[in-house]
Amino acid sequence: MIAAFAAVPLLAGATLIAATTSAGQPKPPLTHVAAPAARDPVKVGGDLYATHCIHCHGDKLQGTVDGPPLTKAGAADVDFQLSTGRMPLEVPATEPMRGPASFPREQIDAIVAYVTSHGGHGVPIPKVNPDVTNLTRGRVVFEENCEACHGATGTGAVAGFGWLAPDVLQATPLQTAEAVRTGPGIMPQFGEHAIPQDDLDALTAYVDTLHHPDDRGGYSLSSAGPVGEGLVGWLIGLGCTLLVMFAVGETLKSKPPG
Amino acid sequence: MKNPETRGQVRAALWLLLSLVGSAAFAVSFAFGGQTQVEGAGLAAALFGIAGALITWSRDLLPHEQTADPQHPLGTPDRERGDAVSLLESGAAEIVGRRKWLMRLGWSALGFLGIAALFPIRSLGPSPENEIGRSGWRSGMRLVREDGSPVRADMLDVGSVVTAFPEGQVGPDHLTNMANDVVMLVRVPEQQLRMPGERRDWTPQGFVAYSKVCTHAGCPVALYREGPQQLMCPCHQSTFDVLDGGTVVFGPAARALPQLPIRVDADGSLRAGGTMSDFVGPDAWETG
Amino acid sequence: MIRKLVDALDERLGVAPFLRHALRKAFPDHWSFMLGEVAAYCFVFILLSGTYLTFFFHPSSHQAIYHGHGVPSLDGRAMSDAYASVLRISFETQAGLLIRQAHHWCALLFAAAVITHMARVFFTGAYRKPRDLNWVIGLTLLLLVMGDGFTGYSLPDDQLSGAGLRIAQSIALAIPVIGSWVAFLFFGGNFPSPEITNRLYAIHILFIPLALGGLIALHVAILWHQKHTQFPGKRQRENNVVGSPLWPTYAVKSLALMAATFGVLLLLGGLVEINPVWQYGPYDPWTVASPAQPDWYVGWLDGALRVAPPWAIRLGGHTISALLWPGIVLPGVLFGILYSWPWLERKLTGDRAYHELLQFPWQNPLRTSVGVAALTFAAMLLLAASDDVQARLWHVSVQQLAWFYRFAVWIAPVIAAAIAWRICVELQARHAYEQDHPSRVVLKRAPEGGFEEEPVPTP
Repeated sequence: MIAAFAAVPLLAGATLIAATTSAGQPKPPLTHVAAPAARDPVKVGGDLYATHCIHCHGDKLQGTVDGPPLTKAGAADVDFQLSTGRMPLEVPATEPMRGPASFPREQIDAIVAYVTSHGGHGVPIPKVNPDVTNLTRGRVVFEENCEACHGATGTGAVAGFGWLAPDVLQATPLQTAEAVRTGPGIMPQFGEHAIPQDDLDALTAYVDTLHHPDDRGGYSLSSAGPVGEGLVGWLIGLGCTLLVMFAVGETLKSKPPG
Repeated sequence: MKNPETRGQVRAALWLLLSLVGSAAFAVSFAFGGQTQVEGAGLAAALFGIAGALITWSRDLLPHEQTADPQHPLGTPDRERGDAVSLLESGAAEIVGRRKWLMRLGWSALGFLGIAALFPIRSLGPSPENEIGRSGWRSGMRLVREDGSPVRADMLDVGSVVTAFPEGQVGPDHLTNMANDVVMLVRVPEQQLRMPGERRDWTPQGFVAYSKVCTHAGCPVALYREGPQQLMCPCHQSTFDVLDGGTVVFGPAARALPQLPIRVDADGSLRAGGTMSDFVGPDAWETG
Repeated sequence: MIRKLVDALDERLGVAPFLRHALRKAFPDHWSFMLGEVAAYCFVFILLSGTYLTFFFHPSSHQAIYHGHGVPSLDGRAMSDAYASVLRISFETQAGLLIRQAHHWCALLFAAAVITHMARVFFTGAYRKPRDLNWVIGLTLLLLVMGDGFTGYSLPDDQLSGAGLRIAQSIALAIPVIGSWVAFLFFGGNFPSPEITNRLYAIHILFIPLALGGLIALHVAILWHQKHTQFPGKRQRENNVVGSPLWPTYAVKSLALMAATFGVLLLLGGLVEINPVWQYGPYDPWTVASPAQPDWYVGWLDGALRVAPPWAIRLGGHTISALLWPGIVLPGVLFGILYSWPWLERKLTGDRAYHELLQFPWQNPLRTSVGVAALTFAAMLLLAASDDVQARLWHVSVQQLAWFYRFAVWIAPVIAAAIAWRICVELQARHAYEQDHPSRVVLKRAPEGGFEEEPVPTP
């Protein structure tokens, strides 16, 4: 029976390890279109768009069955999706996941320029000026609007029906602000009246502090909360005392009669 | 060190040295202001050292002697047990005697004392009457945010969400009200709405408000899935459809989220267009 | 020195005969008999560490603005005194964080030790007459440990503890007819009442520890009086108890276990972070973080809440909440069966005899299968309580995973019980085979010459 109970944490522990090793594998690099510095960024962006984006988003940004139209996508959208490596998608119509960016900065800017000059009307790149003097306000904004999906420690969580709210631990202040303003995926968006600029500056500063969590208590168990703590309690807590029991206790000396 | 005694002594000594080092580490850390990890590791080493030494004593230094105690059922012979029973019975008979009505009165007195002793329980809390599932929302109340600032129509683009409370009911003095009156105000594309007939005018400009208190176990239904237009509870994953009146899409919740009718004023501020459509929060006997 | 002490005590109390007897008392020392001792040492540790914490904790819901050195993102935030005092314990009290964390680890280990100890008692049949009495006390101890754990989890008034209390209040509301009264009287009003932290504190540090201490004393006194059970063996019979004498052999072993238990709790308390309430933030009833789980010993109940069907019954003006089934009926039935199991088994098997010798699990396939099924059921519920964490790790839909557990909590116990039954039967068969076909024989030379084969029973 001990085995039955021990199997529970073991199973979960194995998946924890599996998950941490499979995450964060770099995407295979894409072949970049050669981009001489002197060329018009819109033109460069157009070439890149034609190579990497057109298949799903269509030649007029109108979208296809595989991808949404970009006519309502603004600079913030495009910059967020490309700079966090979510786009281009390897497999169309799957949930975009964070990864290394597929394009260097100037190429991202070029694609942004192309989309915004070809009918992409949406949120412009937000101003962001992280305000470290107002972390308390940033935290309140985070707790009210963000932690139900991204977790109290920003490590991400499920968002239902196969969707994940990603961790925010790699997001730059600009990316955080872009996500807030545009609401990528199934995330709601928060405009300038819902989260005013001051709050956004406080929020981005607070999210930045989550990158280096305050783990004064020791090893953080990947912030898995009581689940990880239960595992450790059983495996290490009971495990250690079991070792002592084995050391000083006896084993069965003989089988039962008859 | 072929001699097991010597070997055991050396081992035990090493363990005890570890213990000494651990205690010293704890003391030094504490004296210099304390550091949780050093303190914990130090005390643990001190105790593991003692445990190790004792294990060594038990395995190498003490004889492995076994002793046997006799074991027999604790039950006593019938005669002795009978004596005890008859003592109890005769004593009880002496108490009761022929005082039947007196005994009855005595039992009643004890019973009433027991009932009387229950009365203080009533002081533990107020009556739940009318409080179960009650909502503070009244028609015409403005929606405000946690800090008391009013929620305005221009605050929310389509696909946005905000947590709101009834005006005048926010702040540290109103925690209980805030906990039960809190709503999620969502703005969805108007043409997507599939509200039942009587709720058609509850959602002007696509503003939809639901109680944020889960009808399952009371957690805040704080997770808004923007595209599918669902509200989900992070505690037990009950999922509700925003578009058709908060019906349960998935999960252990047995009741739709109560909806708050919304009205948009001429000046753009949002007000409750009525009261909550249903009891707020988890089911109880009184929530019909 | 010892002499003087015993003299002094004996002259006043006449303790010498008891001592002479007690010090040589036989303690069977199979390793699995020590699980209960770990639980007892956890009680000692949790009492000591908890006492230290009471010196600094403020059980008050009074809201005030926090200005501490602890956490910059909480500076100037309104929070309860309870939460603020936990921050001060963690960051401004010397060794406070260590003791707080070790105290919480101890709660996790305490429950784990109690459950493994009870499982050992169950699967070896140690609870049979005359020890059915101690089985009942032991189960009550388990409930008390869970209750003390949950009240402790609720005290810091952080985001997680608040969500847990809200769910507990919802379960109280689900009691038919009187649920609202129960909830309002216990919480002192509608949720979140300012009374609750204070009440939980009284329960957590006074009522439950007192009950635990008293029942543990009774548990051990009965054990002492009835003496230990033991596995059958060459010397071990129904009419004796074979083991190490308490003094010195067993005392040294047990003290080693005590030191190791304290050691591992302090090791975890120092090195592995537990319940970092400063990360979760103070409780605001209108916010919640994801994922949200209780400690593991309550996790099975939370799992039941997650996978339970939404079966509310509307009775024209009144409602029987869907929470009744997973929140009250399920634990009620489960513990009802556990409490009555010694008598149930007696009814089923007709075995009313005294039992001083233990059985091996394979010797009783029925009991073993029932126990395996019950533990698998609890384990599946516990797993279901972390379905959101698993869904994130495996990147699957949490709703689909919940559906999986809705079936798995019922199917897995049946499969596990069938496997356990099979293993028991196979082991019985092998044992019978070995009895019939002893692997070793002794050749005996008869005095008149010639040899005779004599089987040696397998050891």
